[in-house]
Amino acid sequence: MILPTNDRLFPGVGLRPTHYPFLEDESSQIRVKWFEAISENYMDSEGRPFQMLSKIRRDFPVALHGVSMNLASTDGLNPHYLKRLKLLVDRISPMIVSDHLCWTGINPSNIHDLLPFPLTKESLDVVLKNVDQAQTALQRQILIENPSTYMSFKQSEYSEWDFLLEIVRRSGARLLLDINNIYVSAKNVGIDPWRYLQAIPSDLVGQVHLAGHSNQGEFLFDTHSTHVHSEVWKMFAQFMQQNQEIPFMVEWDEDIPEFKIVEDEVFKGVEIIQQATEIKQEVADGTGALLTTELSS
Amino acid sequence: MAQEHYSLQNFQADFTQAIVAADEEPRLLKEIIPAGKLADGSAALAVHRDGYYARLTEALGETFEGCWYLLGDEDFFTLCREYIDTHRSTCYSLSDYGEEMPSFIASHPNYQDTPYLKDLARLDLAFMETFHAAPHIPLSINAITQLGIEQLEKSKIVFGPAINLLVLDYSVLTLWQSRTLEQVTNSNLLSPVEQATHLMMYKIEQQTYIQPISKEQSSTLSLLILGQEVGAVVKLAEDNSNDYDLAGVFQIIGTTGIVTKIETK
Repeated sequence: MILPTNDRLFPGVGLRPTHYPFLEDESSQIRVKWFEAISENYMDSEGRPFQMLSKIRRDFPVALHGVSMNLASTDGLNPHYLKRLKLLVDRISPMIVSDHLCWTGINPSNIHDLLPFPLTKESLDVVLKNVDQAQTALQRQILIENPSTYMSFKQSEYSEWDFLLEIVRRSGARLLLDINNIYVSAKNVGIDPWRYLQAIPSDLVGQVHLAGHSNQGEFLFDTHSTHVHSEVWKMFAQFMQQNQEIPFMVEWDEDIPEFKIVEDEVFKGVEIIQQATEIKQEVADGTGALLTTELSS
Repeated sequence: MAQEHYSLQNFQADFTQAIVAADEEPRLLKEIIPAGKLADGSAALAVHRDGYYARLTEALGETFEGCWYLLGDEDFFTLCREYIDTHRSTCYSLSDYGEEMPSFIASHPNYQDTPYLKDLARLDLAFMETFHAAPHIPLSINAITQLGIEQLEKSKIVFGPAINLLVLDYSVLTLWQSRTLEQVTNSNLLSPVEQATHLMMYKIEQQTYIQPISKEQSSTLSLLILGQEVGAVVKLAEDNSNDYDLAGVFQIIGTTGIVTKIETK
């Protein structure tokens, strides 16, 4: 039986200021293979945040993940924002540059949220134009993340996955697949998260996000404040069977625990992939049918 | 009758108003299918509106530690709410939000009894600015003294980018510095006196320092930071000895490491 080795898997975590002291003092204990940094936190800082990012970059690959690119803005993208992001990209040489399928405000305001919009042909044209503007300005491919949603719209003409796939196929961008967001959004809007997941071809995915959400009673909220939900792990296991070399990471942004706990969380993903591969192999050998049923729910 | 097309632009304008002004257009509400068990479009919009206030309040809390410390949670959160309601964020980085807070406080009727609050806000902002400024490699005092007076007078002094000179109306430094303490032992600190206060904030490596300086030192440093040749500043100091303090400034330069380079003609 051939198990995936840790060398083939690519677990990472978010770079967060809370963990800077640990990362500075205990760098020899770091087990993850890469870090994801929030672009906006480093675009205009030459102080400790940027020094820390540079230090991490000397030893690890880094992905830059944005929250303010405003890809669904009808005003187009902010040229100053793109210029600053390009400077950061040139300085850090990230392995991935990403943002979200959302808008964040209309000119000149910024609501600092990943806002939803009707998935129509008009919106598709707007997003395609903006993705093109971003990729031209940055002179590289970007990855686009599926957001968490707390509403849908009567006008929408596409499912979210069809909309995303249309964007990436027509723009040359790729997907940052957030499996927790799929789960949260699907549960919130009343669709089957597995159906969403199964619609995503792994060859269009350049990175995977995992995170914990909160149950607010009336809806699921993407809080990044806790451990990854068991159902999300099952979906992750299923998806990663298609392509185990996709970089994956855990985001933890509220009630952030010590670094080792976040790291342990992403290494659950490593174990899950290894177990799933073992089970798959057992199925191939004709010995593990029951376990496979459990995993694919 | 065919329904009027609801453009993405109009949708985003309505959505923005619903978040920042709680002004919910009926056509927007009609369009929304709320998630989960949320009652209606209004409840779904409230998820984003609550997030908007929470994120901006958190950002203001990170920057205005001194104001938060003085006001306590309830008053500080009220101040934040009022500031957010009157100041939309136009920056892509949350840490840049709040730059008009000192003038907002200065003109706020509730804070006329605590006129030094605006100075705390200015210190808070300056501290954040210094935090994000680039570090520099300090030039040793020996490198400066080796130049000789004649050469130094033809030179410009280049300071580290994190240096920040402040002139405040009240003596708030001790109060501001106590913001990280659990308890203030001297209650006199809570009533700073009206007194022009000159401060120099700077950073060496990643550590931020702040020290009181005299008005004359501040005036002299300002000229040097602006790139005046040392000789010109010497002349000015000789002609107006009451307004400038060159010796004091060189003492500060020697003890702090705020200079990064001497540019000699």
